[in-house]
Amino acid sequence: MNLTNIWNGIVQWFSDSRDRSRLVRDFNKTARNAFVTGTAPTILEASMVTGNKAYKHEMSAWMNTGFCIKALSGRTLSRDEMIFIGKIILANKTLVRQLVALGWDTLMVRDNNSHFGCQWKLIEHADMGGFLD
Amino acid sequence: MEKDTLLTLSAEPKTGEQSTIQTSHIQWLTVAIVLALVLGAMIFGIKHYHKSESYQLKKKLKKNGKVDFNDVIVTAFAKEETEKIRRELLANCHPDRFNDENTKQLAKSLYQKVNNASNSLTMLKELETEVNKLINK
Repeated sequence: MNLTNIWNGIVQWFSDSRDRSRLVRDFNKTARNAFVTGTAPTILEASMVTGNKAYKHEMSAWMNTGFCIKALSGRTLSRDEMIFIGKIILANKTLVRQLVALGWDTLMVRDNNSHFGCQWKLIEHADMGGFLD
Repeated sequence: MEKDTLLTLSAEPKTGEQSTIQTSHIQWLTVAIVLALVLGAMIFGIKHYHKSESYQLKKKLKKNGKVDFNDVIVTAFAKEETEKIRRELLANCHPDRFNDENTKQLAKSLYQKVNNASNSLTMLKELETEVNKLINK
C-alpha cells in the first residue's frame, strides 16, 4: 500500500463520516417536519448504532455500522408495525444502496419503550452483484 | 556611578539565558514549519482527492441518488392509503381492460410502473393522474 492510497483512505473516511452524519441529520429533520405538519403521527429518529457483526460486508465501516430507526410514539410498537416501517425503508433501493455504500450493514427498527426490535441485513436488499451473475 | 553600572549590568541578559531564548525560538520555528508542511500536504491531498475518479463518481451518485425522505416517512405511516391507491390503480390500468393495441401497451407500462412504485405514496399519487388520463382516453 503506497502513501497515496493511505492518504486517500484517510480523506475518504472523513468524507464518509460527514456524509453519514448528513444523511442521519436530513432524515431526522424530514421526520420532525413531517410530524409538525401532521403527515406523520409519530416522530421517527435515525441514529448510528453498533451493528450486527454477522451482517458485515466489504464496505462496512469499522464502527457504528447499524442504521437504527426509533419510533418515538410513546407506546410499544407491534412487530407488524416495525416490519412495515423496515420494509418501506428497504423498498427504497436508492436509500438502501446509499446506506450500504456509506458503510452501514444493519437496519434496525425499534420503539423508544423497549430494547427489542427488528433488524435486517442491508446488503441482501441492495440488489448487488447482478452484473456478475 | 557605581549603582548605575550595576543596574546596566543586571539589565543585560546573561549568556545562559540568551542561549535558552534562542533554542526556544528555534523550537517554535521548527514546530511552525512542520505545521505549515502538514497543512500544505493536507491541502494538496484534498485537492488531489477531489480530482480523483472515485470522488467524481461519488459526486455523480450523490446528485442522481437523492433520497426523498419525506416520501419514505409519509409512506411508512400511510400503509392502508398506499395499499388502497395501489389496488385501485392496478385495477384501473390493467392491460386486459383495453382493446386498442396502443392503449394496451401504454396500460402495460403504467401497470409495471404502479407495481414498482408500490412502496411510494408520492409516486403512486403522481401515477394516479396518468392512469386517469388513460381511462378518459
